[in-house]
Amino acid sequence: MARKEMMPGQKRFTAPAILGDVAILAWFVFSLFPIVWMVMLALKTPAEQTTTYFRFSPTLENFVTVLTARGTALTSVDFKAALVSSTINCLGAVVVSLVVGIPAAYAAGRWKFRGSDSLMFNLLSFRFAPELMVIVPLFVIYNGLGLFDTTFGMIWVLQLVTMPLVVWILRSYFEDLPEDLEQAALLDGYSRKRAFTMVALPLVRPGIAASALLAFIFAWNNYMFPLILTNSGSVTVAITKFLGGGGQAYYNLTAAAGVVGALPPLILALTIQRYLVQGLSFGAVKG
Amino acid sequence: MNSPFTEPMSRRRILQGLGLAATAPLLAACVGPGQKSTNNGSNAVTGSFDWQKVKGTTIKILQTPHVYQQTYQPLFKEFTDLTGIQVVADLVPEADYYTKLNTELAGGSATHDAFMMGAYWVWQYGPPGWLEDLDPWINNTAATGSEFDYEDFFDGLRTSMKWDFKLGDAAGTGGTYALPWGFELNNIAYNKTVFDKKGIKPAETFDNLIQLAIDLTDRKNDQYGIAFRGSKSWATIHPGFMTQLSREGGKDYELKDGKLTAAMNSPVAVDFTKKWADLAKQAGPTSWTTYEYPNCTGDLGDGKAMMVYDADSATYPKNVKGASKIAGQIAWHQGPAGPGGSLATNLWTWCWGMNSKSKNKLAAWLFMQWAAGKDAMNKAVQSGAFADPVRQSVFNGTFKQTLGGFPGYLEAFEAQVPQAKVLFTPQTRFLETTEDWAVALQSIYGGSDAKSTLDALVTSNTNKVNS
Amino acid sequence: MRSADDTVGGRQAPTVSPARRKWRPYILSIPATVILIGILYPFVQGVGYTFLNYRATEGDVHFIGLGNYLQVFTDPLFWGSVRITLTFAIVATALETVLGVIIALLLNRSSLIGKIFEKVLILPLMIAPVIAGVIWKLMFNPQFGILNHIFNLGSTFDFLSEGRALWSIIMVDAWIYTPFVAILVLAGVRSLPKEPFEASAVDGAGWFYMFRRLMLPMMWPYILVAVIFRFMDCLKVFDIVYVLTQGGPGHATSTLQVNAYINSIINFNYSGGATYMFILWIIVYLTAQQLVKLLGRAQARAAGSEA
Repeated sequence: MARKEMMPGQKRFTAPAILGDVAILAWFVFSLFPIVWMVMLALKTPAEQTTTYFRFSPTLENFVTVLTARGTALTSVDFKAALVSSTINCLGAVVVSLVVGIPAAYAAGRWKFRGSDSLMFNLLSFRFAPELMVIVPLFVIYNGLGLFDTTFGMIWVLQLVTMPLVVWILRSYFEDLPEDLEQAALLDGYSRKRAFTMVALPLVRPGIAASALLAFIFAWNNYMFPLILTNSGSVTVAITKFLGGGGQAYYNLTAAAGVVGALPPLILALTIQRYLVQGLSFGAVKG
Repeated sequence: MNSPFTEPMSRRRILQGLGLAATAPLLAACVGPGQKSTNNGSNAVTGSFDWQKVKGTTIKILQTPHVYQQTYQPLFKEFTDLTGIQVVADLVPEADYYTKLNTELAGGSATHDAFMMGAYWVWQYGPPGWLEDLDPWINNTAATGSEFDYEDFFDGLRTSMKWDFKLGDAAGTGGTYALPWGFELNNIAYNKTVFDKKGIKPAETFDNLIQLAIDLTDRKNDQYGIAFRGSKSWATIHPGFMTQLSREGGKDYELKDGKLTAAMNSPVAVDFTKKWADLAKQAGPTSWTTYEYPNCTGDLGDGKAMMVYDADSATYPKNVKGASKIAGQIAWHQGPAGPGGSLATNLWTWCWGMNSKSKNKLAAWLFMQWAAGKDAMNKAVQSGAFADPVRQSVFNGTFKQTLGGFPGYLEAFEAQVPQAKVLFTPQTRFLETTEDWAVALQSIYGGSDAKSTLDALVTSNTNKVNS
Repeated sequence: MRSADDTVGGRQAPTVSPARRKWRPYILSIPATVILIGILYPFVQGVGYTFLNYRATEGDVHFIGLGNYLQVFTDPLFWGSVRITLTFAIVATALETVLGVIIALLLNRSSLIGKIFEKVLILPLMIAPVIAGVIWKLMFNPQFGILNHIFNLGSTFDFLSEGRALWSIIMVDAWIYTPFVAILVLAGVRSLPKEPFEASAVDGAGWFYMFRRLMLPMMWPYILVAVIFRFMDCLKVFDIVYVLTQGGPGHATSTLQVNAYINSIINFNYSGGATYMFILWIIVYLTAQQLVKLLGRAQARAAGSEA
């Protein structure tokens, strides 16, 4: 990876190359500025949150309040508990989606069986349902089944968010997979299942990484389901609790909570980043 | 009166339902009349009053972040010591509080035994029978201690908790469906330092207020005259707008032959609405259509808005040392009186409602009684942030003592409280029709003709209210 | 149906009975379907609401047939929100797709700047849309917001005015979700086989030719997957809009789901809200069908150009 890879046909240090760098830089300034601003906001005192721009006296007080619930404001938000429960729910949801979704994506990508297209489409269509439409019936059902405010219930409902992503992203990868590799394994005497796990699965690692990460993020950021179907909500709900009430606004606390709340997905992203970035060379396989 | 979906969902019913679902009548589950007061829980409470009557119970309450909620957090332990009842408080962000509460109540859940709510929700939750009538509880000496003293609550508050659910009847008769906890009067909070420096006093008539606000506006220096709410919500109409409209002689609905007719397009109202929208444009915040009350109080505290026309208990915390840039420099005034001297003021109260399906009604009542009781309220006020306690004894006692550094607060309050009540006409479509009112106001602010916009609003609202 | 178990080169691969082979894909798909099928019941209930006059706070619920649909289709507000929703979805998706593809291509060059920033590409996605809405609303505020300050717009420029609100919201959506497109496309680009490009380079083809003839067709499936997800989600947009403007000023940014929310949750008119949402669902369903057909054709072309 050290050797600089070019886009085919590209030359170094030309005007287009520099223009490209400027463009990418411009995007990242736009992309990162609000985040930097949010971190700054997280370091401001209540009196300074809307009265200062870049010059202010930073304090870590907001992070203390958010994490220890020891501050005087909004002491009943148990952020740490929210972090734990959200992590469990979202990781669980992603794992379930992978375990169940990979075979489905493989089936649909590998074999164009009859009904595969409409099955795939219907799997996707569950994502179309506006959350608000199902939220009241879902609430009643969950209450009746005893799934309200349970991990199982949350993992199940989050499948609406995670499964379509996993299946659809991976289907593309499985479709691109050349058969020769699996064929070779089969010829060597391995069962289809071994061929799959030994050969196909490792090759689609970037796809698994990308879909798992994106599915986790979307599950983590989901607001409506945890709000209605649990008592204390998720991290995202907890962050909005810090906004305040009664005419008082604590944007600084919200920003601090937002920063802390973005850490688990960030950690996940950094952990599996190398799988995302890995380039593959199918070309090596083709005869 | 019940939702078609409040039947307990056993597994068998699910399968039944799955089968039925395909062939329509979801209504098969629809049950007949809702609960009547014969189901009231206080009938089961007998004997003598004892705080420890149901010790060992756990109740769940639903709250939203608020200064009231925060000052009471540390006091819960005292309640548990007193009664042996554990309190589990679930917190819901303010923006979505009613999303959650509405879903829960409409879905027939008894998850939370008691919950915070506003006065207008008596009109929403009362008619379908989701709220327990508290009158039997208050009058039951086995359930309510002798020191509770309901008469100690301000008149206007006790009235606003009562409605008999008949369209056209004013608030004040019928059952009591919530217990007041904290409240707000709408008036003008202003930047005293700036006023003193310029040698001006708060305006006494509405036209003077307009002129004063315009004079104080200096956009180049990021200052403007007056902040009030403008977002697309019923909450934009209810503080300053409704208060001043009423003072000028306007009303929301007139009762004619047993039907309510919307009155937002009366000549007085049209004139007032036009002036109000103009005031927002000339002397209000630039992004007025997105302004909610934290933005208004925030701008006052930051020294950007010279006046705020909103809840006094919302601007109160900004004056506490360190809370804002101009802490210590805020003063209060009752706002301009109407042409006839009217100081009609719309009030808001955060109150406690009891879930009519709760399985722990006595425990919930003991909690509500304690929270609105003299002892706890005095302690909360003393912590320095709980403004406008609902009890006259607490107001005149501990609260008054905190008002040293809050010039004009007490005078304004005492001038307004005799005429303070919920100025809106009770009706079940309050939220929808009042939000439409806010949308009309936003349209007028954006340039539409006031008379025709309000005429259309009146037609639509009259329809909705009487349907 | 491809059969992967034939004999090749004279050696016998382990065979599987034809019946099992035929059912295998279905069996593999069953768990996924089972898990998701549960949502059908509440969904059907939701659809059922649309044929009632169910207002949560009033009794007397009964069947009113197509009454809700009639009311909705003759309401100019409904058509207004259709227009706003479509404008938002098309512009936002197009913007995010174009930007996302450009960013993916630029990052693919592995320049120094690209390598540094690639790690933080995903950051905006980490911020929940609700929170991002709050932060952007603060930045937009004319009295104390940072944007008016930096760009010297004074305290009278309102990003969320009636004329500008929709575009500002689109900008926020693009800020959050362009990385989503970029990541999908980048991962796809990185997995393209090198062979065809090396062969073309040897034949003396220029960059643009290779991009148009080779890269783009092979990239299309990945791009389309991103487009499908973004367009579907944009049609259903709610969080950002509601936080920033609640659908105002007036009705300037009232998308379908915002109106549905106001109807069901605020006004307790569950039947009315459900009607809006069911219609929205149908719109999304039909559009997705078309897009997926497009995806199928794109994939066929991609396979063709690889060969």
